[in-house]
Amino acid sequence: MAVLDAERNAIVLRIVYDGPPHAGKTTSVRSLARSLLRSVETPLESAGRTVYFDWMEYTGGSFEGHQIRCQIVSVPGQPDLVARRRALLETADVVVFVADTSTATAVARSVAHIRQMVAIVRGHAELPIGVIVQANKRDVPGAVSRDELRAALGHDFARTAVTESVAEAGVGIRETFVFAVRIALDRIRELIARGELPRGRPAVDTAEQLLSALDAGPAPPAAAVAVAGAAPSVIGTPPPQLPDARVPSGAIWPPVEGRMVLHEATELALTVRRVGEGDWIAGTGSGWRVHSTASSEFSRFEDGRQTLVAWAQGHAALARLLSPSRCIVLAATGTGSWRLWQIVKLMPSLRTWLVDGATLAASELFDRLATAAASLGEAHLRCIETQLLPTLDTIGRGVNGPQFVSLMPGSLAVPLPHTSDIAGRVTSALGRLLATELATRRADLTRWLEQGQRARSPWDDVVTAALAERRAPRITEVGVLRPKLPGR
Amino acid sequence: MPSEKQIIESFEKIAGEIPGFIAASLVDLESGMTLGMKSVRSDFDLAAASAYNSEMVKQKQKIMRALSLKTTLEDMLITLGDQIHLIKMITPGTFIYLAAERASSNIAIIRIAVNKNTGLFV
Repeated sequence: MAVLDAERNAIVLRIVYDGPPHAGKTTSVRSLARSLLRSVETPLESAGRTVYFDWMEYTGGSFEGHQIRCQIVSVPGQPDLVARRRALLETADVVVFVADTSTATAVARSVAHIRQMVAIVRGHAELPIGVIVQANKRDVPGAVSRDELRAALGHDFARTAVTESVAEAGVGIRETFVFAVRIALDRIRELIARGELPRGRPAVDTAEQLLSALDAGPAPPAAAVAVAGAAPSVIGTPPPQLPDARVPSGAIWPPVEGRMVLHEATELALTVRRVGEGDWIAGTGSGWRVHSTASSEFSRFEDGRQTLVAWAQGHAALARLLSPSRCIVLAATGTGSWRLWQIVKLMPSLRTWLVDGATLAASELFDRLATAAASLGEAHLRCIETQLLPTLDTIGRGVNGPQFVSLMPGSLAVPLPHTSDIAGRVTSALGRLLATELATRRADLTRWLEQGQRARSPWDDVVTAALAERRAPRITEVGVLRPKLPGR
Repeated sequence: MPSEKQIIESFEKIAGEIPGFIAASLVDLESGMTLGMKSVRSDFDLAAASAYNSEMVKQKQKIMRALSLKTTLEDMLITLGDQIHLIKMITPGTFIYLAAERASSNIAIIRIAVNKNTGLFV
C-alpha cells in the first residue's frame, strides 16, 4: 500500500514483479538495478530460485512535490510458495507481470498465472491495482507474437498494457518500470482524492523488515502502515483515519446537520486509540465522543452504506429520545476499507449533574435527587421496547425532558426486555450513587428528611428508599408513574 | 519509444556535438523518472534535476492553461551563471533535459544539436 511519508517528503509505493517460474522476474529486477545503479537484496536463494523475494529501492522522480520512493519487489514463482506470493501481491500498488513469451506453452502457463494474480489483487483492494504485462524473452526465435499473446490473454485483459522486453539484455525493462510508476501514481492520485492515502512511515522500509514480516505469519506485511503518532508496527493494525470534511455525500446522517456536527467535532486534532475488543475511540477530553465498534469496518463502501442506512433509520425512530448534536459517518480508513463512526457531543448525564450538586444544601440536593429520579423513571418509560438502556450515565436532562446522551447501540442491538419495576430500578441506581459518590451526604440528607419539612411525592419516596438502602414498596407500578409524565 | 540503450547512444551523439556538455536525460513528464541518461560529471545529480524539472514543465503547462494559450510548449531555456539548461519537449509525455557549460557553449549550439536529434527519442 502506498503511503505519504511527510517526514521524508516522499510518496512510498511498491511495485511487485509477478510471473510464473523462470519467466524472468528476478532477471528483470536485477537488470533494472543495473540501469538505475542500484543493488538488489535477495534474502535467500535455493538453486538459483527466489525463495522469499528480491528487493530493490529507488528514489527518483517527483509527484505533487514529493519524491517518489519505489520499493521494487519480485515474488517467488514456485507453486509451493504461493502464500508468500499472495502476501507480497496484496501489498502492491502496481504489478508488473513478467510473462514468458518464448513458446506457446510458456504463454499458456503465463496466462494461467496471471489469472491467479488478478484474482488476488482484485479481491484485496477496492481501488483497482494496475497491472502491466511485460512480455519477456522477445529475443527467442519463434517467440509468440504480441497479437498472439493478446489473443491468449483474452477479452479480460484487452485493456491491459503490454510491454516487450529482453530482461537479460536490459531491453524494455526501464520503460516498463517507468510505466509502472505512472500507473501506480494514477492510483495514488485517486487515493489522495478520496482521502484514503495513509500518512506516516511505511511499516516495511527495508528488505530485512519485509523478511521479518513474511516470517511472522501469513498476514500481508506492508498493508500495515505506521501512521504518524501511533506505535510503529510491522504487521499490526494501523489506527483508522478519522472522518473529516472529505466524507462523501450519502455517507453521513443526518445529511446537513451531520456535516456541521462533523465539522465541529473534528476541528480539534483528535487522537484515535483502540479499546476493549477492538473498538476505536477518539475525542477524549474534547467534548465529543467519537466511536467505532470493532465490527463496523467494511471492505466495500456499499456494505458500509447499507449499515449506515439501517442505523440512520434506528436513530430517526428514536430521535425524540436522543440528545442533539450527533451524527453517524461512513469514512475511509486510509487502508482501503470503510468504517462506520458515531459522533456524539458530550452532554451532562444525570450522574454528572448529581455529583456536581454534592455541595448543595441538603434540601436542594434532595430536590435534585428527586428530579433525577423522575427523569430516569420517565426515561425508562420512554425507552420501553427500544434498545436504549436508561441509566444515570446514559440519561441527561433535556429541554423537553430526559434524553439519551450516550452512544447508540449498533443497528443489530435487540430491544431490551420490558420491566414494570421502574421505581425499583431507579431506587437501585440512586442507592448505588448514594453509597459511592454521594456517600458523604447520606447522613445529612437522612437527617433533613427526618425533620419532615417537605411535601412528599412518589419520587421523594424513591429517594428516601435509596437513602435507606431499601426498595420503595408503594410506587413500583408503572401505572403510578404514568400520570406524572408530561403530555401522556 | 527507443530502448534505454538507444537513448544513451543518442545522448552520446549529442554530447559529441555540444562543447561543455554536462548531462542529459530523457524524462517521463508525469512521474519525473528518467528513461535514460548520460552524464560526464559525477557531482551532477541528474535524476534529481530531471525530477524537479518535470515539476517545472508541469507548472509552465499549468500557466499556459490558465492563460488560455492555445499552443504547445516547445522548449524552455534557462541561463545560469555558468550553465545553460535546455528542456525540449519530445512527446506530450516526455522531454529532454540537458545541461552544458556556459563558458564552452551557447544557446544556439545546444538548440541545434538537440533539435537535430530529437527524432532519435520518439
